[in-house]
Amino acid sequence: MCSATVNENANTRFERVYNDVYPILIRIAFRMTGNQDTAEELCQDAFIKYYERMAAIPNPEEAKYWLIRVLKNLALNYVKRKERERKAFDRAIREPKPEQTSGETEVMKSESINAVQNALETLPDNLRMVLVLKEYGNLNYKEIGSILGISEGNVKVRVYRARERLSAFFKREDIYVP
Amino acid sequence: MCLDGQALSAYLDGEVSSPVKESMDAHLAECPACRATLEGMSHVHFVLHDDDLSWLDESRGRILQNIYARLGEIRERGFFRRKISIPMPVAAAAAVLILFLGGLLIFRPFDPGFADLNSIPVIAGDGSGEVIGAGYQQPRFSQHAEVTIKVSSMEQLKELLDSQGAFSDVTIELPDMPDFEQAGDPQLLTAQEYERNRGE
Repeated sequence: MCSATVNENANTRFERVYNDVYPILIRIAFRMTGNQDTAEELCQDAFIKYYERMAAIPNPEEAKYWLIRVLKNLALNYVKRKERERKAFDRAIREPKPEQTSGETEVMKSESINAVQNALETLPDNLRMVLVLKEYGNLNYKEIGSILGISEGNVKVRVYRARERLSAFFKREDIYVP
Repeated sequence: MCLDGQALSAYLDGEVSSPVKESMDAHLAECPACRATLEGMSHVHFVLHDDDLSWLDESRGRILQNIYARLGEIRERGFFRRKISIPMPVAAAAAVLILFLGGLLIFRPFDPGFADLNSIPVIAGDGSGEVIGAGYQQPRFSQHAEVTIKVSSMEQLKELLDSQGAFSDVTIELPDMPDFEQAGDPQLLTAQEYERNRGE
């Protein structure tokens, strides 16, 4: 079999997974980072990693969990890095700003600040990741637990706590869905 | 008695199975307080999904093209020029290992260029203890992984240790005296420590 055919087959398999999983991945990344460009970059990195290891992950369903797991790590690393950068910046100019749970200062400055992102950024990373996976990842508690390496019971508690905090935030901010 | 928040949250996610689900259905039909809590949680769900993702389709096609372009670049660069990200602890461990192996290669034991060992008696490295002769013997690494050099005085030992830097073991044998009494665990002391201990 020539290499062009091998590549074509690999691309067909890859695109099948890509088309199924991209909408899930990009929403998770977008809600974790609050920035479209960053979310796209993280998704791109995750899919490149997947393409390189596609032979070892033949099952599309397994591929979905693998990709979500990779993206989760990339997103958490990004959020932590941005937070460190923000703190370093605050130290450098010696003007401490109020604590934010994510380093998305560019989003905070933007005109298009949206209520959902603001609300999610009030949550600590561990609650936010669980809720984002639940709401945007189309995953059940068991699957979320397996991706994050925590028990189903722990997922249940975190989803509840995240919802409780967001509910209070929406009441305080008077946010209603028409 | 009202339902607990965690149970309602799990109910909303379809994580409650029969027959608990039926009993919760019945309770919710009769309890306005629990219905209000559930509605509050549903509200969170709807707000989280009330977002404009009109850019998603365009993004999907564009990122797919970017991915193929990046994969093409990676293939062109080839394996040895690929950018590989390695976690910091692994990179540090690899650096230490490389330095260690490099050090071993540079400061090879028993290199005749480092010291004049012609006056030191040498015994065979096969553990037999057989004296081969005086002078330096080129180690035969293909046959013996270890070579033993036996010295008969502290001066020779000191000279050897000063001139070489890569001994795996140094064994000091004490004289075989029948009235030798063990008075504690052996210790390796510097001369100053020994004098200090004696003074105490």
